[in-house]
Amino acid sequence: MAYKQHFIEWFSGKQVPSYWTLTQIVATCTATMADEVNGGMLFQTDSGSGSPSASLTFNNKRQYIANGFKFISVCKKGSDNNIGIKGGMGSSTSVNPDHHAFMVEGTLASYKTLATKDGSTATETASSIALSQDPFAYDIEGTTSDVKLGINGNIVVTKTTNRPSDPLQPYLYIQSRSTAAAKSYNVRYVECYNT
Amino acid sequence: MTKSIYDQLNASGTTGTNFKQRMVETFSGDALDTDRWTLTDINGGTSGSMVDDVDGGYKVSFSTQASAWGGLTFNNKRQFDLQANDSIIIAKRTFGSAAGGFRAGIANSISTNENNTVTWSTNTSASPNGKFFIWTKTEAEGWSQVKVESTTTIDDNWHVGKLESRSSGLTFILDGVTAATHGTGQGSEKAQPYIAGTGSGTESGRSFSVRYCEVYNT
Repeated sequence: MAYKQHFIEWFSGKQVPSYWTLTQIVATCTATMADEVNGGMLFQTDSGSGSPSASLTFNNKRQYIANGFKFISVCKKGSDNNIGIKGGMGSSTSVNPDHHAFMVEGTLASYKTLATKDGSTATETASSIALSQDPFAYDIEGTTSDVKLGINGNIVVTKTTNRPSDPLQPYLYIQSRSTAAAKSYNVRYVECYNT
Repeated sequence: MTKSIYDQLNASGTTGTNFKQRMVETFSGDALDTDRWTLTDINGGTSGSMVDDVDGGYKVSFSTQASAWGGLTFNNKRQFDLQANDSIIIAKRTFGSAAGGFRAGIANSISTNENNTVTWSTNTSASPNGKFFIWTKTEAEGWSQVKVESTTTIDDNWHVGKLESRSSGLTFILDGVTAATHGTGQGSEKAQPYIAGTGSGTESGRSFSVRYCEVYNT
């Protein structure tokens, strides 16, 4: 069996490794290491208007196949509910990549949700898992027949429509949904690989 | 089917709450990973480089400055719990007959005050009887220096040191064998990996090397 592309990120150290690219979508956001037990990477927006938002990606080095990948992450939202987060695999650094398979949380959705896009049409399927500020593990698996979202080890969404087909990269995203205060999103683990 | 590293490290259904911070460093490459590490010159006289030698890892060298002191830290990004972690470090001192050595473990501080530091030590200047020993200085124990010696004499060979730090106390495992224990928790403080050395004299050629470091919260 051939050994396929495999990536692991623990977000431990003094700063975010330079193989990640922070793309400001609406200024201004930061990605730093948290000085906090189990803090991982601290993704933050400022408190400006216009929904400050950013993505953290491989700057369009897309080494993962849309119908044969798995993405795993452990994260938590900050204390403010007025935040939207996404994590998974995307084909670009933009807010809505043409091809993607994302877990969506926060006020972008009513429940933890699987969002996919097939190049032109984006659709979402919600799970029954409530939004929360607790740490949680999630995984997204793309196969030739569907895309699955798992939360804390249990598959909660299986989606067959509007699945991505172009090559993908790891993708993390934060968006402030109010201007009251800076918003935060901690990510302590990312793993993705071609299956 | 390719297996994930996550699934090999965790039981099925592990929640985000139970998945803790971890780091693994193998000190291989053309230079120190400075996204991760800082070579912290704690009291001056410190330099470092990757070693062009089989199993060489990374070497921290000391000048002839008295009390030269420095080593590797995360520059105060402290993601590990002082009394709920394991640290595994493979290192060796090269001091010969000179006094001194390295300490390895985790620390809240990277200054000479050494506050909230939990390590195993090869520093012959500080060892009561020249043996490998647990060395701590924490608020939980009133900032006093705690030393618990093993029965193994400090030398200049490679060693694997593991510290298991819990609220119930510390276990120091040297080369796979329990070498010393200390039955007091060290306090739930944030901390970073810490591998630093010092020497009290002015001899030339003093250094330590490290080829592996793994730390994880439990």
